[in-house]
Formats: sequence, structure tokens, C-alpha cells
Amino acid sequence: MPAREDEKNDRTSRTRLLQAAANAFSESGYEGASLRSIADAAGVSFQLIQHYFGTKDDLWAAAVEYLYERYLETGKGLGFDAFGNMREQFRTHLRLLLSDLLQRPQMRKIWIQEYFAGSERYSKVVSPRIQGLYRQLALPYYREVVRLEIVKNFSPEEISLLVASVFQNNVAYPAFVALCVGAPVGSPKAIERQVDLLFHILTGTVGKSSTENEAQSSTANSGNEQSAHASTRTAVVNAWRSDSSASDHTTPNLPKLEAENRRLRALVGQLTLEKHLLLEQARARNAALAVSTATESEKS
Amino acid sequence: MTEDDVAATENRADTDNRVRLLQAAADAFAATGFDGSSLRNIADEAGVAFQLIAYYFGNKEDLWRATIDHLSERYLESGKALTFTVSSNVREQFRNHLRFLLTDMLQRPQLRKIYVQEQLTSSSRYKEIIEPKIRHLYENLALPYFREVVRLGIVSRYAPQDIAILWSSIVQINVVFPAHVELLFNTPVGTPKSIELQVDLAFRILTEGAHEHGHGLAIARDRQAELLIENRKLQEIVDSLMLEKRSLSETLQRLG
Repeated sequence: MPAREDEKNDRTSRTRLLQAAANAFSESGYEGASLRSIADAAGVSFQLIQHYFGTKDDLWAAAVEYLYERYLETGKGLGFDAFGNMREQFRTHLRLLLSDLLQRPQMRKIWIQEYFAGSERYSKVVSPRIQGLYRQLALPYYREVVRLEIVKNFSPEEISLLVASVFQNNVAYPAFVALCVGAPVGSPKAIERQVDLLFHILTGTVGKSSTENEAQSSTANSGNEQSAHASTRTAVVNAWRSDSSASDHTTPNLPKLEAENRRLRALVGQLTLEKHLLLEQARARNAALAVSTATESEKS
Repeated sequence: MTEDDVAATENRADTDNRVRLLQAAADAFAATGFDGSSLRNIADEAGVAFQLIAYYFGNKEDLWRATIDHLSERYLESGKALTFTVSSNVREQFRNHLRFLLTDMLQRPQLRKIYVQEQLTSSSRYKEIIEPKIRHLYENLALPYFREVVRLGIVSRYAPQDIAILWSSIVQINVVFPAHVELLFNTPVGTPKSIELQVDLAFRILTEGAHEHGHGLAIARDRQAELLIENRKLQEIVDSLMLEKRSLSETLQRLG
């Protein structure tokens, strides 16, 4: 076999092992992951782990490094093209980041595993990488977003918190997110809805593709929804994806509520009176019995 | 000591041991997950004889279930305390609720950590026990609460589901990625400063627009919230008076 072929085999076995290790460590944690199952999942002989990487600790470190490098690469691709629509580019970046996280959640999962376990690996390996990611990638990117005035009302730190929070929730608490968005985490609907929400919070408007979505959904019954669509576009965002309970409170209907309040107060007065009359009747008929029923009815 | 005294002391010791075991189990399962936790360590942590775990709870899975129930009960209780009253500004009450929710989660993160542990390993415990609990939390606590926040006009730009996404995300990142939050605000997670900064940010986002039509509308919104709360209380009183009246009438009829 020529040497080049050998090299290629080497690389694929290594990569397969790294991917299997990433999966195993992210699911079962460092202690729970077994080297033998990793080798089996990679379809590689067990001895090769030692040959390529060394100990379990070494394999773990290599897997973390592998995931981190790939993540940095994706992140570095997020630049702004001065000739395009900046806001739409920002929106596309958000979508890309969330989709990428959901397709390759292993790095975050491993970080969570090590943080929960309070391991030395966390303080020595994970913590510096969280810092690196934040300082080298997140912060410079969000500074750019602020500098280009895509986001005007939030600091780079605040944007980072909001985006990171919403995104990591998909990895750490997917069942709750799925209930909120009414679609499984990772589905196009779930991704769009969260990107929409973030984009709306950060830029104060509804993005282009979200209005497009609404336009699409309103083709079925045009009348009402089209006017709702128009109002979203003019940044009157009260109707933004709100359910019916939200929309009727844009202008308080005080007179109606005051009237309801007066009616209820009058009703309480009248009912209290009627109750007392009944109590007196009962008392007149049989004092002893009435007292016990009254206390009974009051208990209930 | 009388026999009763002995029994009472034993009961107290029982409850004590049980609670200590549940707390040690909560810490262990939160830190190292189900498979990574050893019953012997849990017993040692609790300062209780190893054999007592089997006596009180049964096997490891039984202890795990008892731990989840123990933590959920306490969590649901504190959640139920989040209601609005007429007596003061509802917007401030909302801010206090957010502060309380985040503080409470950071003081007792074990339940959430166990949820995450089981989700990461995609265990059958997650599917069978935790997912239904999350659904219950969402449908019976989170969603009704955020609906109320919208109904009272405290939040006018976001649907209840969106508030739930935003707020659960912020709470969650404090539990799973505190390092990130610490970098952002330069202060450890759980400190009053860190909590205040995050509550302020969420509050600012969510209540934005509620004041934008001027002070008059803000006052109208406060009055509206007051009326909504008060009317509901009044309706409850009306309902109970109706019931009392009916039972009195029935009693009178029985007497002839």
C-alpha cells in the first residue's frame, strides 16, 4: 500500500475516533464514557486509541480541542459585507450560529458535564476556552454589530448574554423550548421563531424573512392577517407573534373594567345581604341547628 | 423516657436521616449524574449508614425518584407564591418576581442540573419522568404566569411564549454556563450585582413600549391591572357567596 493511502487511513481513523469520543463524552461525561465503546463506535481497534492519543485524559483533551477548532472556524466566517443589507446579514448569522450549535452540540454538552462535575478539567481546559471564545470571537463580533449600528439599544456584552442564553437553552433545556415555540428544537420553525425573537429584541423590528413567513401563512385567509402583517411592518410591534390574549391590551379599556368593578361590588353587597336574611330565617326556625349549619357552610 | 417519647425521637431521627439522604442525593445526582453517583458516597455525605438507603427508599432508581419529588415539591411551592396584588405597582411586582426566580434557581440549582444531566445522556428517566415534569411546569406555572403578565399590560410587545423563551434562557445560562455570564458582567454569578444586572436587562426588554405613549397611558395601565386583579377577587367572593346561599336555602328547605 502506498504511503499516501496509509496517511489517509490514519487521518480518517483519528477523525472517526475524535467524533466518537466527542459523542461519548458529551452524553455520558468523562467518567461514564468508556474507551472500548468509543473504539467500537468509531469502528477502530481499541489499541489505536492509545497509539494515536495516549490515555483517556489525552483523548478527552484532543476531542475538546477538535471541537473547539471547528467552532472557531465557523465563527470566523461571520463577517459583514459592506455592500449588503447589514441587518439581514446579522439575522443570517444568528440563524447560522443556532443551526450550527444544534448540529454540533457536543462541545457545549461536554462543557456542561465538566462544569457540573466540578472537575479539574473544567478549570484547566474548559474555562480558558470559554474565555477564548468570548474574547476572540463573541465580543469582537458583537462590538462590530454595535459599531455598524445594527443594534442600537444594547451593549456588546448584553447582546452576547441574550444570544448565548437563548441558544444554549436549546442544548440544555430543549423540552421547555419546544413547548414555548410549539415545535421540536432543531426544526426550522423552532430556529426561525427564536432567531426572530432575538432579532426583534435586539433591533426593535421584525426581520424581513419573518414578515415573509407571515405573508405566506396569511395567503390562506387574507383579510385580517394582512392588516396584522401591515402593522408589524410599520414597527408597531404590539401584535408581534402575540396570542389572542395579548392583543386586546394595547389600549386599556378602563370604562368597561370600571363598570364591571361596580357591578361586582353591588353583587357582593346584595349577596351578602341575602345570605344574612337566609341566616336569620334559619335562626328563627331553629336556633341551635342554624348555628351549626352556618358554621358548616362557612367552613365549606 | 416513656414509650411515646422513644417513638417520637425515632420518628424525628427517621425524618432527619431521610432529609439528609435526599439532600446528599440531590447534590450527587446534580454533579455527576445518575450513573456517576455512588450510593455509598451519598450515604457518607449524609452521615447515614449505607444500609438505610435501601430501608428508606429502595434501590438507586427509587432514591433518584424520591429526590426528584422532594426537589419538585419545593420548587412548585415557591412558584405558586408568584401572584399579583392590588396593593402596589404591578410592574415593580413583576421585577421582584424575576429577581426572586433567578435568586431561587441559583440557590437551589440541583433540580435543574439533574434535568440537564438526564437530558444529556438521553436516559429513559428523562423521557418518562422529567419531560412530563417540564411540561407540567410550563403548562401550569410558567405559561399561566406570563399570560397574566401580558393580560395585566405589564408586557405589551411579547407573547407569553416569547417571555418564557427569553426568561428561561437567562435563568438557564446562569445554571449551565456561569463562566460566560461572569465574563460579561465581571462579577460572579449569584451575587446581588450580577442578579440585578440581568433582571434589569430582562425587565427593560420586556416592559419596553409599555410607557411609550406617555405617562397617561402608563397610569391607565396600572389602573387597568388593579381593576383586573380586583375584579377577579370580587368574582371569587361572588362565587363563594352563591355557594353559601345555595347551601343555606337547601338547609332551610330540609327543615321545612
